Amino acid sequence: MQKIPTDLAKPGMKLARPVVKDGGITVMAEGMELTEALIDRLSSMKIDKIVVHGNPVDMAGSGGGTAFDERLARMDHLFRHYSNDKWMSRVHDRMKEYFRFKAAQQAARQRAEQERDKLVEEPGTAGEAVNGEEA
Amino acid sequence: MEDLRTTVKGEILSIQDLPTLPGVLDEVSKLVEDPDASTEAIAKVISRDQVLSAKVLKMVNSPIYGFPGRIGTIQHALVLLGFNVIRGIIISTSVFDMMVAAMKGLWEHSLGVATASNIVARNAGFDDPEEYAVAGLLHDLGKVVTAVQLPELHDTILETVRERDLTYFRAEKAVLGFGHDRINAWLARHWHLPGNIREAMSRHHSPHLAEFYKPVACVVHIGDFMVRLFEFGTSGDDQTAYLRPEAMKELGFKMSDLERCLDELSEQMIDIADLSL
Repeated sequence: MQKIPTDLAKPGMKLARPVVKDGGITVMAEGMELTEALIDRLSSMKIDKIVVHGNPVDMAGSGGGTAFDERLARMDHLFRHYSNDKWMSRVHDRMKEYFRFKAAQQAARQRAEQERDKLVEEPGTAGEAVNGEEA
Repeated sequence: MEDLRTTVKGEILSIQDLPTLPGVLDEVSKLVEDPDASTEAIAKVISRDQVLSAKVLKMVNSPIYGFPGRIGTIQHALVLLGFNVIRGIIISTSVFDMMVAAMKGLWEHSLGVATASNIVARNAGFDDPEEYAVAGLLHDLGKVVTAVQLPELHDTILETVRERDLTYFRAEKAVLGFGHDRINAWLARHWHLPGNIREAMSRHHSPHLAEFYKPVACVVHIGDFMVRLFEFGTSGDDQTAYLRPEAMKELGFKMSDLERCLDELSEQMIDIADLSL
Protein backbone atom coordinates (compact mmCIF):
# COMPACT_ATOMS: atom_id res chain seq x y z
CA MET A 1 0.00 0.00 0.00
CA GLN A 2 1.17 3.51 -0.73
CA LYS A 3 0.15 7.03 0.15
CA ILE A 4 0.08 9.14 -2.99
CA PRO A 5 -0.84 12.71 -3.91
CA THR A 6 -4.34 12.78 -5.39
CA ASP A 7 -2.84 14.46 -8.48
CA LEU A 8 -1.11 11.17 -9.29
CA ALA A 9 -4.22 9.00 -8.83
CA LYS A 10 -5.25 6.99 -11.90
CA PRO A 11 -8.47 5.17 -12.70
CA GLY A 12 -8.20 1.53 -11.70
CA MET A 13 -6.26 2.15 -8.49
CA LYS A 14 -7.96 0.78 -5.40
CA LEU A 15 -8.27 2.55 -2.07
CA ALA A 16 -6.38 0.76 0.71
CA ARG A 17 -7.75 3.14 3.33
CA PRO A 18 -11.08 4.94 3.45
CA VAL A 19 -10.99 8.59 2.41
CA VAL A 20 -11.95 10.68 5.42
CA LYS A 21 -12.65 14.40 5.37
CA ASP A 22 -11.30 16.73 8.06
CA GLY A 23 -14.47 16.55 10.09
CA GLY A 24 -14.16 12.77 10.30
CA ILE A 25 -16.77 11.96 7.66
CA THR A 26 -15.89 9.00 5.44
CA VAL A 27 -16.48 9.95 1.83
CA MET A 28 -15.14 6.86 0.07
CA ALA A 29 -14.82 3.36 1.45
CA GLU A 30 -11.76 1.16 1.59
CA GLY A 31 -11.51 -1.15 -1.42
CA MET A 32 -13.26 1.24 -3.82
CA GLU A 33 -11.81 1.37 -7.31
CA LEU A 34 -11.05 4.84 -8.57
CA THR A 35 -12.62 6.22 -11.75
CA GLU A 36 -12.06 9.57 -13.47
CA ALA A 37 -15.25 10.85 -11.88
CA LEU A 38 -14.19 9.79 -8.38
CA ILE A 39 -10.76 11.34 -8.81
CA ASP A 40 -12.38 14.62 -9.88
CA ARG A 41 -14.55 14.46 -6.82
CA LEU A 42 -11.53 13.95 -4.56
CA SER A 43 -9.88 17.02 -6.05
CA SER A 44 -13.01 19.13 -5.67
CA MET A 45 -13.24 18.08 -2.03
CA LYS A 46 -9.63 19.30 -1.63
CA ILE A 47 -8.40 15.89 -0.51
CA ASP A 48 -4.75 15.95 -1.49
CA LYS A 49 -3.58 12.49 -0.42
CA ILE A 50 -5.01 9.01 -0.64
CA VAL A 51 -3.78 5.53 0.26
CA VAL A 52 -3.96 2.95 -2.51
CA HIS A 53 -3.12 -0.73 -2.84
CA GLY A 54 0.24 -1.78 -4.19
CA ASN A 55 3.04 0.67 -4.90
CA PRO A 56 1.84 2.10 -8.20
CA VAL A 57 3.65 5.43 -8.08
CA ASP A 58 7.39 5.91 -8.25
CA MET A 59 7.90 8.60 -5.61
CA ALA A 60 11.50 9.28 -6.47
CA GLY A 61 13.65 10.44 -3.62
CA SER A 62 11.01 10.31 -0.93
CA GLY A 63 13.03 7.55 0.75
CA GLY A 64 11.74 5.08 3.29
CA GLY A 65 8.56 3.17 2.95
CA THR A 66 7.08 -0.21 2.61
CA ALA A 67 8.02 -1.20 -0.90
CA PHE A 68 9.68 -4.30 0.46
CA ASP A 69 11.86 -4.98 -2.58
CA GLU A 70 13.33 -1.50 -2.10
CA ARG A 71 14.00 -2.28 1.56
CA LEU A 72 15.71 -5.52 0.57
CA ALA A 73 17.94 -3.62 -1.83
CA ARG A 74 18.96 -1.19 0.95
CA MET A 75 20.00 -3.77 3.56
CA ASP A 76 23.60 -4.23 2.41
CA HIS A 77 24.08 -0.49 2.47
CA LEU A 78 22.57 -0.02 5.93
CA PHE A 79 24.66 -2.81 7.46
CA ARG A 80 27.85 -1.93 5.56
CA HIS A 81 30.02 -1.35 8.64
CA TYR A 82 29.16 -4.56 10.43
CA SER A 83 30.47 -7.23 8.09
CA ASN A 84 33.12 -8.25 10.64
CA ASP A 85 30.70 -8.48 13.50
CA LYS A 86 29.37 -11.98 13.84
CA TRP A 87 26.11 -11.11 15.58
CA MET A 88 25.29 -8.15 13.33
CA SER A 89 26.07 -10.25 10.25
CA ARG A 90 23.47 -12.71 11.47
CA VAL A 91 20.98 -9.90 12.03
CA HIS A 92 21.78 -8.59 8.54
CA ASP A 93 21.12 -11.99 6.95
CA ARG A 94 17.94 -12.42 8.89
CA MET A 95 16.62 -8.99 7.90
CA LYS A 96 17.41 -9.68 4.25
CA GLU A 97 15.53 -12.91 4.50
CA TYR A 98 12.61 -11.08 6.13
CA PHE A 99 12.36 -8.40 3.45
CA ARG A 100 12.84 -10.96 0.67
CA PHE A 101 9.87 -12.88 2.04
CA LYS A 102 7.78 -9.71 2.42
CA ALA A 103 8.66 -8.56 -1.09
CA ALA A 104 7.62 -11.91 -2.54
CA GLN A 105 4.38 -11.80 -0.57
CA GLN A 106 3.67 -8.25 -1.73
CA ALA A 107 4.33 -9.18 -5.37
CA ALA A 108 2.15 -12.28 -5.12
CA ARG A 109 -0.73 -10.28 -3.67
CA GLN A 110 -0.51 -7.75 -6.45
CA ARG A 111 -0.46 -10.48 -9.07
CA ALA A 112 -3.49 -12.14 -7.50
CA GLU A 113 -5.32 -8.84 -7.54
CA GLN A 114 -4.48 -8.21 -11.16
CA GLU A 115 -5.66 -11.67 -12.11
CA ARG A 116 -8.89 -11.16 -10.27
CA ASP A 117 -9.43 -7.89 -12.15
CA LYS A 118 -8.72 -9.67 -15.40
CA LEU A 119 -11.29 -12.31 -14.57
CA VAL A 120 -13.90 -9.62 -14.12
CA GLU A 121 -12.99 -7.76 -17.29
CA GLU A 122 -12.51 -10.66 -19.70
CA PRO A 123 -13.90 -13.86 -18.22
CA GLY A 124 -12.90 -15.94 -21.26
CA THR A 125 -9.15 -15.45 -21.00
CA ALA A 126 -8.71 -15.80 -17.28
CA GLY A 127 -6.63 -18.93 -17.51
CA GLU A 128 -3.79 -17.24 -19.32
CA ALA A 129 -0.70 -16.36 -17.40
CA VAL A 130 -0.32 -12.80 -16.29
CA ASN A 131 3.18 -11.50 -16.46
CA GLY A 132 4.71 -10.41 -13.17
CA GLU A 133 4.66 -6.69 -12.73
CA GLU A 134 7.20 -4.87 -10.72
CA ALA A 135 5.99 -4.23 -7.19
CA MET B 1 23.23 22.25 36.94
CA GLU B 2 26.23 22.85 34.73
CA ASP B 3 26.44 23.70 31.08
CA LEU B 4 27.95 21.21 28.68
CA ARG B 5 31.27 22.29 27.19
CA THR B 6 32.46 20.60 24.03
CA THR B 7 35.94 19.23 24.32
CA VAL B 8 36.95 19.91 20.76
CA LYS B 9 36.04 23.53 20.19
CA GLY B 10 35.22 24.52 23.74
CA GLU B 11 31.80 25.77 22.73
CA ILE B 12 28.96 25.50 25.14
CA LEU B 13 25.49 24.11 25.26
CA SER B 14 24.10 26.39 27.89
CA ILE B 15 21.09 26.05 30.08
CA GLN B 16 20.06 29.66 29.68
CA ASP B 17 19.75 29.29 25.93
CA LEU B 18 17.58 26.20 26.08
CA PRO B 19 14.28 26.40 24.26
CA THR B 20 11.61 27.87 26.49
CA LEU B 21 8.83 25.45 27.15
CA PRO B 22 5.28 26.77 27.16
CA GLY B 23 4.45 28.60 30.40
CA VAL B 24 1.51 26.36 31.09
CA LEU B 25 3.90 23.46 31.57
CA ASP B 26 5.38 24.97 34.74
CA GLU B 27 1.96 25.71 36.09
CA VAL B 28 0.77 22.22 35.28
CA SER B 29 3.83 20.58 36.84
CA LYS B 30 3.05 22.34 40.12
CA LEU B 31 -0.55 21.20 39.99
CA VAL B 32 0.51 17.62 39.42
CA GLU B 33 2.53 17.67 42.62
CA ASP B 34 -0.45 18.94 44.55
CA PRO B 35 -2.42 15.92 45.74
CA ASP B 36 -5.59 18.01 45.92
CA ALA B 37 -5.46 19.13 42.29
CA SER B 38 -7.95 17.41 40.02
CA THR B 39 -7.40 16.22 36.46
CA GLU B 40 -10.04 18.74 35.56
CA ALA B 41 -7.97 21.59 36.95
CA ILE B 42 -4.87 20.42 35.10
CA ALA B 43 -6.80 20.07 31.88
CA LYS B 44 -8.17 23.56 32.29
CA VAL B 45 -4.69 25.06 32.48
CA ILE B 46 -3.48 23.23 29.36
CA SER B 47 -6.67 24.11 27.50
CA ARG B 48 -6.01 27.82 28.01
CA ASP B 49 -3.28 27.54 25.37
CA GLN B 50 -5.40 26.72 22.36
CA VAL B 51 -2.62 26.17 19.86
CA LEU B 52 -0.87 23.82 22.26
CA SER B 53 -4.10 21.97 23.03
CA ALA B 54 -4.78 21.45 19.35
CA LYS B 55 -1.30 20.00 18.89
CA VAL B 56 -1.66 17.71 21.88
CA LEU B 57 -5.04 16.44 20.67
CA LYS B 58 -3.65 15.84 17.19
CA MET B 59 -0.80 13.77 18.63
CA VAL B 60 -2.87 11.74 21.09
CA ASN B 61 -5.33 10.91 18.31
CA SER B 62 -2.57 9.72 15.97
CA PRO B 63 -2.07 5.97 15.59
CA ILE B 64 1.08 6.25 17.71
CA TYR B 65 -0.84 5.98 20.95
CA GLY B 66 -3.50 3.54 19.85
CA PHE B 67 -6.65 5.66 20.31
CA PRO B 68 -6.97 7.09 16.80
CA GLY B 69 -9.64 9.76 16.50
CA ARG B 70 -11.33 9.06 19.82
CA ILE B 71 -9.98 11.64 22.22
CA GLY B 72 -11.88 14.93 22.11
CA THR B 73 -10.69 16.84 25.15
CA ILE B 74 -7.46 17.44 27.05
CA GLN B 75 -9.08 16.06 30.16
CA HIS B 76 -9.93 12.83 28.42
CA ALA B 77 -6.36 12.65 27.12
CA LEU B 78 -4.99 13.11 30.64
CA VAL B 79 -7.19 10.37 32.02
CA LEU B 80 -6.34 7.92 29.26
CA LEU B 81 -2.65 8.62 28.78
CA GLY B 82 -1.49 10.15 32.04
CA PHE B 83 0.41 13.32 32.74
CA ASN B 84 3.86 11.99 31.80
CA VAL B 85 2.77 11.23 28.28
CA ILE B 86 1.02 14.58 27.81
CA ARG B 87 4.04 16.41 29.19
CA GLY B 88 6.34 14.50 26.82
CA ILE B 89 4.16 15.47 23.89
CA ILE B 90 4.16 19.13 24.93
CA ILE B 91 7.95 19.14 25.26
CA SER B 92 8.65 17.42 21.96
CA THR B 93 6.26 19.55 19.94
CA SER B 94 7.59 22.74 21.57
CA VAL B 95 11.23 21.87 20.93
CA PHE B 96 10.69 20.66 17.38
CA ASP B 97 8.47 23.66 16.67
CA MET B 98 11.46 25.96 16.45
CA MET B 99 13.16 23.81 13.93
CA VAL B 100 10.40 22.26 12.00
CA ALA B 101 11.48 23.10 8.50
CA ALA B 102 15.09 22.07 8.89
CA MET B 103 14.41 19.03 11.01
CA LYS B 104 11.37 17.51 9.37
CA GLY B 105 13.31 14.30 8.79
CA LEU B 106 14.22 13.97 12.46
CA TRP B 107 10.62 14.69 13.48
CA GLU B 108 9.49 11.85 11.22
CA HIS B 109 12.18 9.58 12.60
CA SER B 110 10.98 10.41 16.12
CA LEU B 111 7.35 9.72 15.24
CA GLY B 112 8.47 6.42 13.77
CA VAL B 113 10.43 5.45 16.88
CA ALA B 114 7.45 6.45 19.07
CA THR B 115 5.22 4.14 17.05
CA ALA B 116 7.77 1.33 17.01
CA SER B 117 8.36 1.64 20.77
CA ASN B 118 4.63 1.31 21.41
CA ILE B 119 4.56 -1.83 19.25
CA VAL B 120 7.63 -3.37 20.90
CA ALA B 121 6.33 -2.63 24.41
CA ARG B 122 2.99 -4.25 23.63
CA ASN B 123 4.64 -7.30 22.13
CA ALA B 124 6.89 -7.61 25.16
CA GLY B 125 3.75 -7.64 27.31
CA PHE B 126 4.41 -4.34 29.11
CA ASP B 127 1.60 -2.24 30.57
CA ASP B 128 1.07 1.35 29.45
CA PRO B 129 2.75 1.18 26.03
CA GLU B 130 2.07 4.91 25.54
CA GLU B 131 4.75 5.66 28.14
CA TYR B 132 7.22 3.83 25.90
CA ALA B 133 5.90 5.69 22.88
CA VAL B 134 6.56 9.06 24.43
CA ALA B 135 10.07 7.94 25.42
CA GLY B 136 10.59 7.10 21.74
CA LEU B 137 9.23 10.47 20.72
CA LEU B 138 11.80 12.23 22.92
CA HIS B 139 14.79 9.96 22.29
CA ASP B 140 16.67 12.25 19.87
CA LEU B 141 15.76 15.63 21.34
CA GLY B 142 19.45 16.29 22.07
CA LYS B 143 20.07 16.45 18.33
CA VAL B 144 17.57 19.28 17.99
CA VAL B 145 19.17 21.20 20.82
CA THR B 146 22.62 20.91 19.19
CA ALA B 147 21.16 22.18 15.94
CA VAL B 148 19.54 25.16 17.67
CA GLN B 149 22.35 26.15 20.01
CA LEU B 150 25.46 25.19 18.07
CA PRO B 151 24.40 25.45 14.43
CA GLU B 152 27.96 25.58 13.09
CA LEU B 153 29.12 22.54 15.01
CA HIS B 154 25.92 20.81 13.95
CA ASP B 155 26.88 21.43 10.32
CA THR B 156 30.35 20.06 11.06
CA ILE B 157 28.78 16.91 12.52
CA LEU B 158 26.70 16.38 9.40
CA GLU B 159 29.75 16.99 7.23
CA THR B 160 31.72 14.46 9.28
CA VAL B 161 28.94 11.91 8.80
CA ARG B 162 29.21 12.34 5.03
CA GLU B 163 32.95 12.59 4.68
CA ARG B 164 34.03 9.88 7.08
CA ASP B 165 30.95 7.71 6.63
CA LEU B 166 30.33 7.65 10.37
CA THR B 167 27.06 7.34 12.24
CA TYR B 168 25.72 10.63 13.58
CA PHE B 169 26.42 9.40 17.11
CA ARG B 170 30.11 8.75 16.35
CA ALA B 171 30.44 12.01 14.46
CA GLU B 172 29.01 13.88 17.46
CA LYS B 173 31.65 12.35 19.68
CA ALA B 174 34.37 13.29 17.20
CA VAL B 175 33.20 16.89 16.89
CA LEU B 176 31.71 17.70 20.30
CA GLY B 177 33.42 15.17 22.51
CA PHE B 178 30.07 13.75 23.60
CA GLY B 179 26.92 12.42 22.01
CA HIS B 180 23.23 13.29 22.14
CA ASP B 181 22.85 10.64 24.81
CA ARG B 182 24.63 12.98 27.22
CA ILE B 183 22.74 16.02 25.99
CA ASN B 184 19.55 14.04 26.53
CA ALA B 185 20.49 13.18 30.11
CA TRP B 186 21.23 16.84 30.73
CA LEU B 187 17.94 17.97 29.18
CA ALA B 188 15.89 15.37 30.99
CA ARG B 189 17.30 16.47 34.30
CA HIS B 190 16.75 20.13 33.49
CA TRP B 191 13.13 19.51 32.53
CA HIS B 192 12.54 17.16 35.47
CA LEU B 193 11.39 14.30 33.27
CA PRO B 194 10.52 11.06 35.03
CA GLY B 195 13.25 8.46 35.41
CA ASN B 196 11.95 6.01 32.83
CA ILE B 197 11.91 8.65 30.09
CA ARG B 198 15.27 10.04 31.14
CA GLU B 199 16.83 6.61 31.04
CA ALA B 200 15.38 5.86 27.60
CA MET B 201 16.69 9.18 26.30
CA SER B 202 20.19 8.74 27.67
CA ARG B 203 20.58 4.99 27.18
CA HIS B 204 18.93 4.19 23.87
CA HIS B 205 22.33 3.56 22.31
CA SER B 206 23.59 1.46 25.23
CA PRO B 207 20.56 -0.08 26.92
CA HIS B 208 22.72 -2.83 28.43
CA LEU B 209 24.34 -0.16 30.60
CA ALA B 210 21.08 1.22 31.93
CA GLU B 211 21.04 0.98 35.70
CA PHE B 212 17.38 1.76 36.18
CA TYR B 213 14.41 1.29 33.90
CA LYS B 214 16.38 -1.03 31.64
CA PRO B 215 13.27 -2.30 29.83
CA VAL B 216 12.29 1.13 28.52
CA ALA B 217 15.85 1.80 27.30
CA CYS B 218 15.77 -1.58 25.53
CA VAL B 219 12.38 -0.90 23.95
CA VAL B 220 13.45 2.45 22.48
CA HIS B 221 16.76 0.90 21.36
CA ILE B 222 14.91 -1.75 19.37
CA GLY B 223 12.39 0.82 18.11
CA ASP B 224 15.24 2.94 16.76
CA PHE B 225 16.77 -0.11 15.05
CA MET B 226 13.43 -0.93 13.38
CA VAL B 227 12.77 2.57 12.08
CA ARG B 228 16.28 2.78 10.64
CA LEU B 229 15.64 -0.42 8.68
CA PHE B 230 12.73 1.32 6.97
CA GLU B 231 14.66 4.60 6.68
CA PHE B 232 11.50 6.34 7.77
CA GLY B 233 12.50 9.96 8.32
CA THR B 234 16.16 10.72 8.89
CA SER B 235 18.16 10.16 12.02
CA GLY B 236 21.22 12.02 10.75
CA ASP B 237 22.98 9.17 8.94
CA ASP B 238 22.15 6.28 6.63
CA GLN B 239 23.16 3.28 8.68
CA THR B 240 21.49 0.71 10.80
CA ALA B 241 21.97 0.99 14.54
CA TYR B 242 23.85 -1.76 16.36
CA LEU B 243 21.18 -4.09 17.68
CA ARG B 244 22.32 -5.08 21.16
CA PRO B 245 21.60 -8.75 21.79
CA GLU B 246 21.27 -7.86 25.48
CA ALA B 247 18.26 -5.69 24.64
CA MET B 248 16.55 -8.57 22.85
CA LYS B 249 17.30 -10.81 25.80
CA GLU B 250 15.98 -8.31 28.32
CA LEU B 251 12.59 -8.34 26.58
CA GLY B 252 12.66 -12.08 25.98
CA PHE B 253 12.62 -11.33 22.25
CA LYS B 254 13.55 -13.76 19.50
CA MET B 255 14.11 -12.65 15.93
CA SER B 256 10.59 -13.84 15.14
CA ASP B 257 9.21 -11.39 17.73
CA LEU B 258 11.17 -8.60 16.11
CA GLU B 259 9.73 -9.56 12.74
CA ARG B 260 6.20 -9.48 14.08
CA CYS B 261 6.89 -5.95 15.30
CA LEU B 262 8.27 -5.01 11.86
CA ASP B 263 5.06 -6.32 10.29
CA GLU B 264 2.99 -4.08 12.54
CA LEU B 265 5.24 -1.08 11.99
CA SER B 266 5.05 -1.38 8.21
CA GLU B 267 1.25 -1.34 8.49
CA GLN B 268 1.22 1.75 10.69
CA MET B 269 3.91 3.86 9.06
CA ILE B 270 1.64 5.01 6.31
CA ASP B 271 -0.77 6.54 8.83
CA ILE B 272 1.87 8.59 10.58
CA ALA B 273 3.71 9.64 7.42
CA ASP B 274 2.20 13.12 7.23
CA LEU B 275 1.58 13.87 10.86
CA SER B 276 2.94 17.39 10.82
CA LEU B 277 3.48 19.49 13.90
